[in-house]
Amino acid sequence: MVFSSLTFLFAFLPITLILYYLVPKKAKNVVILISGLVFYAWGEPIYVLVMILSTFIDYTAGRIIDKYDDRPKIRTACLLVSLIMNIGLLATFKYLGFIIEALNAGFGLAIPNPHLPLPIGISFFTFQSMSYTIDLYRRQIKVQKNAASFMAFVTLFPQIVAGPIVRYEDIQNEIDDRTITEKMVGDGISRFIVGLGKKVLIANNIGLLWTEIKALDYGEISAVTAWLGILAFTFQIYFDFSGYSDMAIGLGKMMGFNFPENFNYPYMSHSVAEFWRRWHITLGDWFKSYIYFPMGGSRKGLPRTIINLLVVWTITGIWHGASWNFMLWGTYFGILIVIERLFLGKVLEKIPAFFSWLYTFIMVVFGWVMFDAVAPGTVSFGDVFGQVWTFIAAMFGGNGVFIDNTATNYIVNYGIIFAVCIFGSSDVLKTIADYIRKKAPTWVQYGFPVVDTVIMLASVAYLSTSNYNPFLYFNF
Amino acid sequence: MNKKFHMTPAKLTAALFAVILLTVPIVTIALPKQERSENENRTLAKFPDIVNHTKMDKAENLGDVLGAIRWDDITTRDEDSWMDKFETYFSDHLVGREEWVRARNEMEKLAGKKEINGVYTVDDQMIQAFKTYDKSDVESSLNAMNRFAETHPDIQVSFMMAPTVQELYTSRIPSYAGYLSEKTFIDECYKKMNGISTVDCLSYLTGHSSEYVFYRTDHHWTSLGAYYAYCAAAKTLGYSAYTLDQFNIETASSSFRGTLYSKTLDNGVTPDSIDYFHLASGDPKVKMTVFDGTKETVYDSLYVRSYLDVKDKYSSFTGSNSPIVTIETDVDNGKNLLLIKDSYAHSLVPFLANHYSKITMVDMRYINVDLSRLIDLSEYQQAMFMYNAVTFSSDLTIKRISLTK
Repeated sequence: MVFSSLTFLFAFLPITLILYYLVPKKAKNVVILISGLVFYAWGEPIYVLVMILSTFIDYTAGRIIDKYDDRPKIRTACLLVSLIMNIGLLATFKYLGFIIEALNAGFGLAIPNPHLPLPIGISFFTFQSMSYTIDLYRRQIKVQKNAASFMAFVTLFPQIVAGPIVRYEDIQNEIDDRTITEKMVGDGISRFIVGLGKKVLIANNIGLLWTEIKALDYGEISAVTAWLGILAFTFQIYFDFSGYSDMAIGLGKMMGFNFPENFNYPYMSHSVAEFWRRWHITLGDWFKSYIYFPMGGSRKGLPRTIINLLVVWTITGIWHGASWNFMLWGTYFGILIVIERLFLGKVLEKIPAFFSWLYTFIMVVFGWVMFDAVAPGTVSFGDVFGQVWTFIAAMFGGNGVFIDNTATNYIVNYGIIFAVCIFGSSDVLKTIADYIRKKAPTWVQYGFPVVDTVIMLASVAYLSTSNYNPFLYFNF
Repeated sequence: MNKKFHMTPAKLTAALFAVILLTVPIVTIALPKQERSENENRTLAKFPDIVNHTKMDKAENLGDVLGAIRWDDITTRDEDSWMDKFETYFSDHLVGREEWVRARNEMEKLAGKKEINGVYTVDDQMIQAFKTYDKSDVESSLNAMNRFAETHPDIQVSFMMAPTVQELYTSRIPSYAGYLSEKTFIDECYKKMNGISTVDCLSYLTGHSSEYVFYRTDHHWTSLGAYYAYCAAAKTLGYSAYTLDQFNIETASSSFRGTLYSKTLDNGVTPDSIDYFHLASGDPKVKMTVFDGTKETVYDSLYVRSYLDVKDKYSSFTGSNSPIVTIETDVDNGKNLLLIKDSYAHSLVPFLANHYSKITMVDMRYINVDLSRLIDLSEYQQAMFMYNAVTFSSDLTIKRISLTK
């Protein structure tokens, strides 16, 4: 199930919340567990079993690691079982087809591709589960003895399909003992509605433009059309993804959880490194804690640091999907970050803020070309690279047309939405809202519920009447 | 301690959220369900069955009951899944569905969108978009028509392609909007006709573009528009058209809101009127037989007035689209016309009926067998293809005419 559906808003959510608030404290995790399974099974009726299996193995591994605290070999074995199982699930469902196709193409083989469908959210729940066994092995957290509580952690529906990646450490206290305050519920609802609006009103709208431009022939479009298209995607992915995170964080708050933040106005960054500290924060943290630092991070000299960075970013790339374009995208950021580490970072600090912002934003936009300007089903690296190249060339007027009727039409129809996007991806609104909360008289504070209600109703109007409501994270 | 209830902003947020989350589903469930949407002219989704009722009724033990459940629907994740059908059902029957659509369209306008659901509104006139078509699809339609003419040398075949309203409003739609020229499209199609005479109704209509020749809220032409097309076809079909002053005009309805209205639900555009053109000297007597694929219904008029009471008032012209409609008149000249058509022909037929003993309208969208198995082609001296440019450019069923022996 996805948050931006009528079934979720008007059937699943009210029923779940009513049950959740009504049952005694001890039973709340059972409500989370059952509702989470229903939520997941709604979109993945068969693969829900994969998730249950994965949870069961990690829970058992955790219990054994805890029980044999003084037997390092047993502990290591359990950790390995957990890692092999989780990474094995990812490898089988997510990467097997890609690897087979690559081998077939590379060595002229004909290994049959089983074309396994990818279970929704598998990259999120395997990473969450792994964080538990690894942290337990490192003795950074306490074991969870209650199977229902552990399962509730994994199946906690707000974050199950599109993050944030909530590590067990983040909610280890709240999972067994949490208080739900009036303020948390109110804030949670506001946060949820803001996220819903970002997804339904902004991302879906601007996304329509990208869908149209993506369908055009990259070898013919004008420079302005190309820019409009990739900027549309730049905003679509931000408002969609951060909207999902807002909804997840809001739903978590309604239920008494404080999830980690996932986005912090990434398009205001002044370096690529800073962008990645503000974009999908929980993913960056995960890779830092479990891959970059264990590899030695930046403590083993410059050559090793560079290698570590490139490896981590390439893996980050293919985490987003098993195809060449995501690997290209990840490696591209790895290289940019290495360059910043070597010298560019210091330069960016010295030049006027506008230029460092512009540099960062443009680099990120080029990144999105690699990420999404590739037709689905493009298998060979050469084709991926060719499409990306053609698109970037078009952005620089490679087709010999700067602006045409198509572009003018898009500007007229989408100008206002673009303005909203630019405004909404800066922190101006947040600054204003914070000022009002602190300084404005009490009666003005009642404006917030009114605005929330308007956004909510407008979102329902769009949800119930639009055909375009994509879920962007099927590849993740 | 003051225990009086105090409505904080947080409580107000929670209260409003709870009200929306609860009232929408409860009212949706409580309200009686409509089977059809008049405005959208379609059947609304039924509640998806989770069990096979025939099997369930016969079930005797738990195993049978489990066997009666539609597991395939529940376990699939494609668009046929029970879960997806449930979402469709929910949105089809959502309380205040039309108001949500209207609200959304208003927001689209606020957001600067000029075209809503493929409809461009300018100066009290709704216009449907003609932006793209598949060249090879059109090619195969044209080839099929040429083949039909070739294999039936005894029939005089003609082709009339009508423009839609946008062609008369070209100057008022900005050029960057990307609307294709219907004139160019019609000319290109006409050029490829072999042994088929073509009728230029476009210039007749543009010549009268200041008159009420197209509905404001519907994609069809008005009876007046159809009249000019009737004049345009006179030479090709070989009759002398009656002049306008020989008709008495009956305004059958003045509250018609058509298909384009259904897409935008914009009440700002003036509703249309449905006009019937009766010969002052008296309409010919007619017997109209509508074959809907299974049974025949006979009328003694070309106007099915019961449609005037529902939303789809245009269907009062010879009824809604049916596979075969046969019109026999007391015009005693032995001239029979086969009309292979879309719905634009419906308001044209009352004019043509004044000149033919028999007119048979066939709608290829509902016919997928050799036409000669359904009607005797040797009865007809003339055949005319009558489509509007938008339908013609996208209709994949016209080419079935080449099946005809």
